[in-house]
This record gives sequence, C-alpha cells and structure tokens, in this order.
Amino acid sequence: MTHEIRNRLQEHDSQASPTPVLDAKNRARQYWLADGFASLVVGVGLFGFSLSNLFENLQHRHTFWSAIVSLIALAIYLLSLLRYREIVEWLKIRVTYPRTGYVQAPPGGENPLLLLETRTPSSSREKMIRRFSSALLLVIGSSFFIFTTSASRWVWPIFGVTYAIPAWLCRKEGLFSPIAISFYLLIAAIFTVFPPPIALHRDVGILTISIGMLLDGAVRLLLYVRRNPIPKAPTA
Amino acid sequence: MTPDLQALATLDRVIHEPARLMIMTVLYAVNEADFLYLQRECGLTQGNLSSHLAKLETAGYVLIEKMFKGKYPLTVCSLTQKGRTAFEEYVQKLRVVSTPPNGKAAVSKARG
Repeated sequence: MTHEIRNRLQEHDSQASPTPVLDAKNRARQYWLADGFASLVVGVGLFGFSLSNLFENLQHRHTFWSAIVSLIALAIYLLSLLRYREIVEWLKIRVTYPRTGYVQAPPGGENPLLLLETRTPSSSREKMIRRFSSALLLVIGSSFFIFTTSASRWVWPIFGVTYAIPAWLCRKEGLFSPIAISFYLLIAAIFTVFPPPIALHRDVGILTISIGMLLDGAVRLLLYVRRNPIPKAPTA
Repeated sequence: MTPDLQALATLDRVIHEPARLMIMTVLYAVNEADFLYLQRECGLTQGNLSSHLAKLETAGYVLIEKMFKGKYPLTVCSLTQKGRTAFEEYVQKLRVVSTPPNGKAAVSKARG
C-alpha cells in the first residue's frame, strides 16, 4: 500500500516537472511573444478594423474624408492580417535580435521530442488542451453573439469576464499579461454603468479588445527594452 | 559488471560535458538559434560558448552558419541529424541508468 502511494506520488512528481528539453522548447515558443510585438501588430490590425467600422456607423453622411479614413483603417487591418509574420519579424530584427538573440521554435504541429517526452503525458495533455480550446472558442463565439444582439447593460460584465478568464488561464503561456486582463474587466465595469448604443456594441467590443492588446504589447515592449539593453561587445 | 553499468562507459564524451550538454539540450528543443540566444540560455561567456560550439561542430553534431536577417548579422547554430541521434542515444543511456527497476517496463512501453 505504502509502495503504491509512493509510486503514484513519484509518477505525479515526474509528470508535474517538465524535462529541460520541454522547458527549452516552451521558452523558445514564448520568446515570440516576449517583446510584445506580436500583440502590438494584432492590436493595430483589430484597431484599424474596428475604427473603420465605427467611423462608418458614426458618420451619417459619407464624405470624401470619411471614405479616406475608412480606407486607411481597412488597409492597416488587411496589412496586419496578411503580412503579420513579416511585420513582426521586421520589428524583431531591429529590436529583439540585437538584444536577446534569434531563435526559431519548432512548429506546433510537429513533435520531434516524443522520444524524450516519456515523462509527460503529452497525448492526453494535448487532447485536453484541444478540447478546452474548442469549448473556449464556443463560449467566446456565443457570448459575442449575445453581446451584439442584446441591448441589456449586463452583457458588458459577461463580455469582460468571458475574455478575462481565458486570458487569465493563458497567462502562463505568455499569451496575455495581467495588464490586458485588468483592462478588459475595467472597461466592462465602465460600460455597465455607461452602456453605449446597441448599434455600436460590436465595434466598441472589438475596439476594446484591440486597445487591450495594444496596451499589453506596449507595456511588454517597454519592459523588455528596459530589461534587455543591447550588449556592447560583438556577439560572435 | 552488469550491462546497465557498462552503458555508462559508452556515454558520448563530447555531449557529456555539462556546458555542451546544455547547448545540445537547447538546440534539440529548437529548429535553430543564434549565438546570443544560446549564450543567454546557457549562461556561458562568449569564449566558453565559442570553444564548446567548435568542439560540437568538429564532432559533426552542430551546424554553424553565418547569415543576415535584414542588416543584422547572425551566427546561427542548429543540430545536424547526427547530433540529434547522438543526443537521443545519450539520453536513452542515462535513462536506463536512472530508471528504477519497476519503472523500466513503463519506459520501454512508452518507447513502443
């Protein structure tokens, strides 16, 4: 009995602590997000998209200048959507690589580490993550539908919590920082008290998400640059 | 001497050195990494890292290439197929030594 409990505890310990290889792989994957550029580029794209829609909705009369502003915002959105990787890479070449170096993590689908991953239940963990992500997408999709069709002010706290919970759960993966989570909750609280008209719910919602990402990216970038000055001596 | 104990004598000495083991571990986990990234990950000095990389390159385990990303020059390192296989063999040998008798079945089962 004692042996069995001890064996189980040892098994649990070995599953809880990742191998150095897995650690290195995770750090390499999170490195892409560490400087905040990924959040900034997605944030700018969403900001352009929501701004172009919001501008269309707010302008009752279409003028030449309103068309130009909408077009520029749309161009920013499309550029960030189609050239996301190139833009982030371009920024990293100038800021990140001279400071902390360059690494290319293995793609998510491939798993060349299976041989060394016998300590972690990789397949069951991956299945769990896949199920959790699908459920999360479903919840976010449904909440966004309710959010754009209901005039009730109480959709705002639901919106805030629906985005803050996954952001909180993903914080260890480096996807969201506490800044974005706090921002979503704060905005939800403000709009519960002062709700915008229902026609603007969708655009204001996307605008809020984009500002959260921009804020998150900007703070991350500032902290990253401050913590990692460019090394003075040549590296190689 | 038991066969398990004999396995210790056949450990790859090029990989067995702690600094080189760190370098191999990082490079095994990624597709490629540059000199600065490796230096920060392993906590080695430039000279130390250079000499260990040179030894790994001589053994045919690591490929070192000079390239440019935009105008930024990079010294990019990656594991060769030989290096990858050598690292896997090294880890397997260590595992055989460190796995308790009741855990052996699980390891061999996991290996398939």
